[in-house]
Amino acid sequence: MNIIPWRKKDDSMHPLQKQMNSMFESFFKGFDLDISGGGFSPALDVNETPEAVIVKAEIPGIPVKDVDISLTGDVLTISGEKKDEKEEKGENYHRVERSFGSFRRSVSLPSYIDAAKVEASAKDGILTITIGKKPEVKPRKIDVKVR
Amino acid sequence: MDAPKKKEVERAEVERTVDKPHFSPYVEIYESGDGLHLSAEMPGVAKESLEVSVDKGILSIRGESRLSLPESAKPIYSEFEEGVFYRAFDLAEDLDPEKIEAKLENGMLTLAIPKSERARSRKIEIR
Repeated sequence: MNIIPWRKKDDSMHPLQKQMNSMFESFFKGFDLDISGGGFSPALDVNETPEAVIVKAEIPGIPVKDVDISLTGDVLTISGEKKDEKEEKGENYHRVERSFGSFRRSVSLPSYIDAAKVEASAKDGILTITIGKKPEVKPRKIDVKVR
Repeated sequence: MDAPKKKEVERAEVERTVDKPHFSPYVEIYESGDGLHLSAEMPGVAKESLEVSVDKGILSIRGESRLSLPESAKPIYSEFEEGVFYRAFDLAEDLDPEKIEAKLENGMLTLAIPKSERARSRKIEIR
């Protein structure tokens, strides 16, 4: 094991650089910058059963009437708006972690889905879209001839 | 744009005895004249599996989320999973834990925690 003298990280910095850094820090403090844009975007899960493809999306606090689902070819799109339903304005905030706004997410599904067999439902803030598969893609056994 | 990953709790306040991931629900807390309003996002949590309790001034919320997928389902792509939402808050003394009102709707828990009668702001008339 090497023995290296312990040195405070700050010591290696030029005093001016240190000052600049603290200036930046104090300026951005309290802004809680969110690089991703801060908007809401639902998390998605895609699962498959022998009969169907099941897409689930997390939409906590969003009434179903504010969600639109469309299927174009094999691309499923979920869009809508997450509104902040508060009665009063100008309150005293203690903590804000939830995000709001319009959202739109698309997911490419396998080409063997049957667009005519789509069902959507929502429960406890989870949206479930079940899309049936075309009959011709259900597994078929192939015999191998021995010559 | 991908959805932000749910924060998994690295160091839960309680020892884990369930073999499931624990998540910290996203919350919003604001104060109005009559009390504190808290909303927490807990998608997949049904009323039956939700617990809201106050013990020694600590408010805790806990709920297990369920995806209710058929057994034959195989994941293709996954951004979220079943787990336990858990979070605890220290309640200020001027709040009245006896009169908390809770509502769970569309996977969102809303709590209204009123201020105790004594702590409510009153207008004082000047004679």
